[in-house]
Amino acid sequence: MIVNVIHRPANGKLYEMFRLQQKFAHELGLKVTLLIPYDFFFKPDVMADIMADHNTYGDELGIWMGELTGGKMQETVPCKEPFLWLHTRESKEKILKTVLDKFREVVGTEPVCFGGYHMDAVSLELLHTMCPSIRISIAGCFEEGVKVFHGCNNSWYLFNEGMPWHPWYPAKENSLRPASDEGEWCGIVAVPHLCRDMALSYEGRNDFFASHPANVQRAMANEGAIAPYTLNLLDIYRYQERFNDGFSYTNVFVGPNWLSGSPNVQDSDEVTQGMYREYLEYYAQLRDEGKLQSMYMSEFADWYKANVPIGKAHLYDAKEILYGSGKDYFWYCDDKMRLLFDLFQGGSIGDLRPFVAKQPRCTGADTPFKAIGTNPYLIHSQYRTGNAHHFEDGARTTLQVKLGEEMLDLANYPTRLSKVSREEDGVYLELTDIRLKFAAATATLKTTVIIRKDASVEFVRAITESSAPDASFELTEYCKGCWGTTEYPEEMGGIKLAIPGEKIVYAYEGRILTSQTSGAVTATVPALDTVLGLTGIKGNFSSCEAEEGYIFNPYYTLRQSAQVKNGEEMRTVLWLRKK
Amino acid sequence: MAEKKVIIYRCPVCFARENDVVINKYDGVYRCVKCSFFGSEEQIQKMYADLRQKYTLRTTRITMEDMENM
Repeated sequence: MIVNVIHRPANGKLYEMFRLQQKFAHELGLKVTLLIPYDFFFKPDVMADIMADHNTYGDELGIWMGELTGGKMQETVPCKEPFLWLHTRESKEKILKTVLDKFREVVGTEPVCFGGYHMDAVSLELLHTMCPSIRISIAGCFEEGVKVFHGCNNSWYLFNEGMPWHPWYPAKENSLRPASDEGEWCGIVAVPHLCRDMALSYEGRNDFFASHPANVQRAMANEGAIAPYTLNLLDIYRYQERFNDGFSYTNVFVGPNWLSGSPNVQDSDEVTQGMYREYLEYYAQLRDEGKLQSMYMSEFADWYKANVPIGKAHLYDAKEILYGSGKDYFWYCDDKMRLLFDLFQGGSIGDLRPFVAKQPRCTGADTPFKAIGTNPYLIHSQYRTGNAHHFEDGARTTLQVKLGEEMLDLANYPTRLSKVSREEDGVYLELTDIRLKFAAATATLKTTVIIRKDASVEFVRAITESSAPDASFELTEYCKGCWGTTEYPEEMGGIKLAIPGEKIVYAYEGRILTSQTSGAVTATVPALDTVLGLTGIKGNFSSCEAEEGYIFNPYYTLRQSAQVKNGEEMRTVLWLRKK
Repeated sequence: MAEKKVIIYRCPVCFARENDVVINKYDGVYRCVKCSFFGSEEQIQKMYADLRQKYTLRTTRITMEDMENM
């Protein structure tokens, strides 16, 4: 594992907390990157301490682009907009020029690292152009968006959902999409702001469950000073090394305001500060055991460029480790899509973000997206119903298995990963067998999922045992989609649904297209410039369908059905392409 | 070290919905501006303790070896 320990100064009595954080890290011999907010360049006493830490301990110095409101930056840009990524391009340029010039003047060198909760594509482009020495930036908050907005009483306008959870090479036109090649890359390595719980950040708030001990206190997931979850969360990131050729990364970046007097922490300051110390001590322990490297941010950027090629897929097995639910999600992310498989729901896709269209996306007052930096989804089972609870089901995939008139839905059958492997032609996930009990027979279903670099997912469904050897099961691969960035439905009118030889334009009329073939069924989503398709490629296919929804059920559904007997299989491919 | 902290409370009902809403005292009773919860400090503490119960592994150290079998 590689860790970046990052600190920043704060004002008033919280300055003591900053010094305490520095003391802890230096005593433990951890490499510290100091990201300095603009206003502190005007404070000679603070800068003297920072330069002393730089000279004595080697702390790397960079720039933190946090809240600007009320500070010196208002002399340059009067608007009270607090964050860089929400300004116009013109203001972004002014702000960056001002802060970069000030860094050069005060520190006397070119900065090499940078950070903001979010750095949109324009901000990174300007940063790279204006200061090519900057090699790395904190650039986004994984799955921060709707849930944190609600969690802050609808007041926190940071929407970064659908982004990588791991370090990445941001694409020029959309900083939250990983670039496909050198030509697409913006030139700066990005790291997420903290590392989030990959199960609970999907189900809930990412700022409750992160590589930030005080966030864990915010969630009340500690019992006073007893807080093993903070270390468990670190270790489950280390656990991912087996899927990612030995690589795992984390960072910790706790503002001094969290260490004393935070309204979101109901523990004593002694407990809070002790938890932070314990967290850093665990880094030092792992380093001493040869299991972790402490690096400066720019050092990590160089390591990443030397060791992780652009376009490489990242994998994450997100076992749930706090509630003890036994749930497990599996994540995949490359330059063409991001996927989540919900193993509790039979391996259904619970989140699908298409990157194939490479649509530009920036935040700011002069963009159509304003605060919504989120990469749009085609499937989000948390926001968009998923498995049925009240009325119809919503966005998800599943397999439906029918014997006679009885139909079983795989989303109601928890499964586990039995094997994960990276092969030449893709990532293979083997799921544990699922035992299906019909009134008339029982059967065992085996699923293998193959995720390919061409933005496709092949589902291999095999009946490996049946109490009625001659029975024919109807297997239907099922994909119910929509699109959006939040929990509310978007305009579906204009989506084209097609089966071989027939197509309709979505008009909320609940129509169904059916063909007795296995050709591709597709939904073309104009807002995303993306086609989602489902194609039968092997098996005794009997029909395919595309179904239009209606306003109380604003989805489209793609289906491929085949007859499968014991010892046989059905193969389908769910795929994405640019329109 | 900073001086002893004055604990600021969050409304336990809103917190149960994953919403951070600071709760203040009015005439000696904590009352939430977002929802209709009201109660004493002791009630709030008890509700916090109850809310923690959902995290059944909150005091359990899970090793990498344990994760293999989860």
